[in-house]
Amino acid sequence: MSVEVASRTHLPVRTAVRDLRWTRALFGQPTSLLGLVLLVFVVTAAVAAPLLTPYAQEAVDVEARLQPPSARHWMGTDQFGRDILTRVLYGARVSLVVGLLATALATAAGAALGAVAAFYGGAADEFLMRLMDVLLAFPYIVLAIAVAAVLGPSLPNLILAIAVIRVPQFARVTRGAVLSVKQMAYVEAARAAGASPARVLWRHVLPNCLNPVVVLATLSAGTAINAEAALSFLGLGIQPPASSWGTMLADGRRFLLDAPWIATFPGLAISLTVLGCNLVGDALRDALDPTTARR
Amino acid sequence: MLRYVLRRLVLLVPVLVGITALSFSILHLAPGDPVYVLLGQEYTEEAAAQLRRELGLDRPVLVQYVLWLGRAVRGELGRDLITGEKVSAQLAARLPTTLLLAVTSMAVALALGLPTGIASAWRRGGLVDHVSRVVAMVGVSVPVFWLGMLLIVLFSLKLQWLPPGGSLRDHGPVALVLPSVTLGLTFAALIARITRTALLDVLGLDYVRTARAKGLAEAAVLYRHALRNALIPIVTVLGLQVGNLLSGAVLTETIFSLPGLGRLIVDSVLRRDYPLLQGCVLVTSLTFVLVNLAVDVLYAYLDPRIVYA
Repeated sequence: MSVEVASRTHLPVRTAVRDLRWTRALFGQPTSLLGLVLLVFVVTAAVAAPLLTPYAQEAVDVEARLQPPSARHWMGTDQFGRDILTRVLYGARVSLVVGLLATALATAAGAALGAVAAFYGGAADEFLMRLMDVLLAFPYIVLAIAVAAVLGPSLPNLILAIAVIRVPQFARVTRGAVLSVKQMAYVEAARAAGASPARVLWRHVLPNCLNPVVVLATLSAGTAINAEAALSFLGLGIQPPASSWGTMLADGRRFLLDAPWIATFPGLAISLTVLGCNLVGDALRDALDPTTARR
Repeated sequence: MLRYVLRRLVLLVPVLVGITALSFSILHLAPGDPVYVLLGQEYTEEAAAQLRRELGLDRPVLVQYVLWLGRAVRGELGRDLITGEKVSAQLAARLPTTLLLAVTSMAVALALGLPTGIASAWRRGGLVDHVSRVVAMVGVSVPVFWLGMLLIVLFSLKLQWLPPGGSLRDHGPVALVLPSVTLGLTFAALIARITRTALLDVLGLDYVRTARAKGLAEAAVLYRHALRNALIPIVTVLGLQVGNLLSGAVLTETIFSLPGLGRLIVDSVLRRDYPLLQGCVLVTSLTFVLVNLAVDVLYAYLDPRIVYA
C-alpha cells in the first residue's frame, strides 16, 4: 500500500501501480474471470452472428413452427418457424448497442452535470442535485415510458430514454469524487500555477475521478440491458418487425405451456449478459473503490 | 416530531403540483392524438374537431391543467377517454392490488434477505456467505419478468399448485403468491447484500467489541447491538427502492395478468388516455412522497441521535 500512496502523491494521472490493480481485478478472481468470459461470449455472438448460423434473422418457415430444440434448430423455433438460436445471436446486437450507447450517454451527461455541480458549487449544485434526486426516486419504467411516449418508440429514442434514467447515478457519483479530489494539494498547485478553472477540472480533477465512474458504468451497462428488455417486453421499446431479447420474451409468454423454449433462451441470454456486467463491475469496485476494498 | 411531519406534509403540495404539471405538459407535447384513437375508422376532420371541443382538448394546455387541478383538489379526476368510466373509481379498484403486492413482496424480500445477510456477515467467508453471495448476484441479474415466467412454468403449468395469473377477485389471496415471490426474490438479493455490508461495517466497531468483552451472548451482540445500527443503511436503501418496486410491479402485473396500478399506467400510455394517466401519476407520486416521509420518520425511531426540529 505504501508504494501506491507514494505514487499517488507524485503522479496524479495514471501509474503502473494503478494499471496493475485493473488487471488483477479483472483476471485475478474466478468470479471476474467468469464475468469476462460471459461478456466475450456475448460480444462474439453479436459480431459474428451471420457466421454462426445458417438461417436469416427473420426467415419464416411455416413448416417448422414451434419445434423443440433439435439438431437442426439448437434452441427450437418460434410460432413463425423462425430459428431461436439465430434470433438470440442477433438479439445480442440490440442489447449491446443499447447497453453501451445508453451507458455512454448517461456517463457523459451525468459526469458533466456532477462535475459542474461539485466544482462550482453553490446554487448550481443545489439545483442540479435536487433535480437528480427527483429523477433518481421516480419509477424508472414510468420515466422511460414518458420519454418513449414523447419521442415515439424507436431505437435511438429507446437509448435516450434509458440514458436519461441512468444520468442521476452518474451525476451523484461524479459529484462525490470531484468534491474529494478538489481538496487535493495538486489541484491547488495547478490553480496556483495559473491554470484556468476549466483546465483544472479537465486535466487535473476529472482524470482522478475516473475509478468510481468506470465501476458504475460497468454495473450500469447491465441495468441498461435489463431496462431495454423490460421496455421491449412491455411493447414500449423495440417495435416489430425488429426484435430483441425483450420482444422474444413477450412472444414466448404466449407459448409457455406448448413451447417453453421460446422464452427460455432469450431469458437466459439476458440473465447471463447482465450477470457478466455485474460480476466484472463488482470485481472492479472491490479493486478500485477504496471504501469497499477492505470488505 | 409532529411539527416536522406537518411541515413535510405542507411541503408536499408544491411537489405534487410540480410533478402533475410536468406530466401534464409532457403528455400534451407527445405525438399521438387520443381523438385519433377514439374515432378509429370514423375519423374525419369535423368529427375530430367536435370531439376535441367536447373533451376540452382544444383549449390551451395551461387552461386544461388549471381546470384539471381545480377538479382534482375536490377529488374529481374526470372520466377516462376510452370507456368513460370514472378515473377515481378505476384508481380505487386498482390501487389496493398494487399496494398489497408491494407489501407482500417486501415481506418476502425481508424474510429471505435479512436472515441471509445476517448469516453471511456473522460467518463471513463461510459456506453460507459464499453460497448466498453467488445466489444474490444471480438474483440481481435475472430480469424479473423472466423469473415470473419460470415460476409460472414450474408452479402453475407443471405442478399446477397455483394459478398462472388473474385478479384477486377471481382467485382470492392465492393470486398474489407467485407475483409476490417473483418481485420479492429480486429485492431479497439486494437486501441480503446490503445487510451483509452494513453489518460487517458495524461489527468492526469498538462498541461491538466492548459488548463482547463484557461477556454478552453472541446473539445479543448481533441483534441488540449490531443489527440495530446496521438497520439505518438498510432502511435508506429500501426507501430508495420504492421507485424500483413500482417499476417491478408494472412488469410483475403484466406477467401475471394482475389488474393493478402498474398495468393501468402502461395501458393508459399506450392508449394516450390523458385523464387516466394523469390520475395514475398523481397517485404514484403521492404514494412515493408519503413513503419517503415515512422512511425519514423511521430514521428518528431507529437512531435516537436523529432529531427533527
